[in-house]
Amino acid sequence: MEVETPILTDEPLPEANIEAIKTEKGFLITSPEVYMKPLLAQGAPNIFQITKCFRKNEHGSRHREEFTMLEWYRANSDYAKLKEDTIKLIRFIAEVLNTQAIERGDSEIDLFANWEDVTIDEAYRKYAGHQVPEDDFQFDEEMTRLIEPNLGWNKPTFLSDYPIKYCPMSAACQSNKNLGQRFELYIAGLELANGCTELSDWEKQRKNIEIEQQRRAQNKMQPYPLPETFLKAMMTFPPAAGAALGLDRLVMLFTRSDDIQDVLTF
Amino acid sequence: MYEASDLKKGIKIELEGEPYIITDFEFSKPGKGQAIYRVRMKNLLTGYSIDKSYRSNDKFQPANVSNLKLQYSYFDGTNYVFMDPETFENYSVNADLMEDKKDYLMENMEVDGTLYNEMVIDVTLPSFVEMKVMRSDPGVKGDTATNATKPATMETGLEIKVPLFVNEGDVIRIDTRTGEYLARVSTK
Repeated sequence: MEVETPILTDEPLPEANIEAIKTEKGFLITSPEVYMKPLLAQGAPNIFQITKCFRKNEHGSRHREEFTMLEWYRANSDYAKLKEDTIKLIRFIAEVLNTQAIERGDSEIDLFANWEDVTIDEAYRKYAGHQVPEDDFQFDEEMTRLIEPNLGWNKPTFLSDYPIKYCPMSAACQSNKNLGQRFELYIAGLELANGCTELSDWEKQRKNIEIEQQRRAQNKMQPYPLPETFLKAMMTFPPAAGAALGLDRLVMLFTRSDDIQDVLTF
Repeated sequence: MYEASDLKKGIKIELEGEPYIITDFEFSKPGKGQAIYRVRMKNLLTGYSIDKSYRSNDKFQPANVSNLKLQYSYFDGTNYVFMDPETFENYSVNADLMEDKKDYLMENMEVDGTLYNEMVIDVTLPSFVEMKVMRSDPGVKGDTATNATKPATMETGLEIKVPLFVNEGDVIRIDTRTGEYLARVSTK
């Protein structure tokens, strides 16, 4: 079911590395999660929407402060199912466009070959030459410099099972509680989608949000009120999974654009 | 002070006591991770480029670098001496820095200087200069190939290839960036 939820919110979800744009009347959403999850909690089984999102100070050849997101949720599901959804979605678009592969530089990324799935642990060993670093800056710096540029050539790549500290909204892996059931999708080095099995334990969810609030304070980010409306709704949240896909970036890939500006009208 | 998010191509910063110019800049942000500012910059003293990654709250001192017009005066045996025509202040420039440029220098020639902490660290020549040919053997008669050239020595000692019709005493225009003959300006 397609849904439409507000773009303006009084209670944005706190994330340690994403800053909302503040307006006279509240904040612009950084993701529709804050309203879509409460819909699931009220009984909606499968929902999606395409909406504008806003993230302060994100400018670059792959970033804009205002961008378009496709976000979807499935009740009683997990991140493996969302990976299947993502594959089906992108292959469907390719079929409509009569395209077998995405061309990028000298490479062709075959969308109909078996997609690759590597864990974070495998990716650091393979591309950084060591195990997953403890330090947050090292983790992110090596991710953007050594890992991301190598992902999703020949065929699309899922990067899976992040350290749980980077998954404040995700369920832990059953085999290893230190990892979260979260994935990112890469095509030609471009990060395209993020998904996870959602955390449905509302007490743990409240605790994680408080931790994110503290991390924001340490990072000298603007204070948000605690998202009480969201947290209250989470008390009836079902087991579920959700994913978000950057539509501007998807258009970049199918139009062979190197800069997000090339796929925007203004 | 600059923050990492203020950096862009062309900005000059001071790093470990040396001036750098930013030649490439990329904002990246992995998934739910923090913003990483990847910067390629060239050391203005050595010319070497380095790549560095910064986080958004890292701070940078602007490099005390400025540009000014200078006039070439003379070579004192060790250094090339230039003068600021507005203040008449003299600047000595190390011969190493002028190695590829010295043969284009003529008295009173106007150049663009780059100043770092009151020291000239770079000199940019005018793109085109006009010089007199001091010595060049006559072209070999009967050689009709259209792009045939012969060596010639300019008044500054610069040696370049010129077309066969250029004679000693002619004034020619030269591209200082490529060291190539462009045109004959006047004949003897």
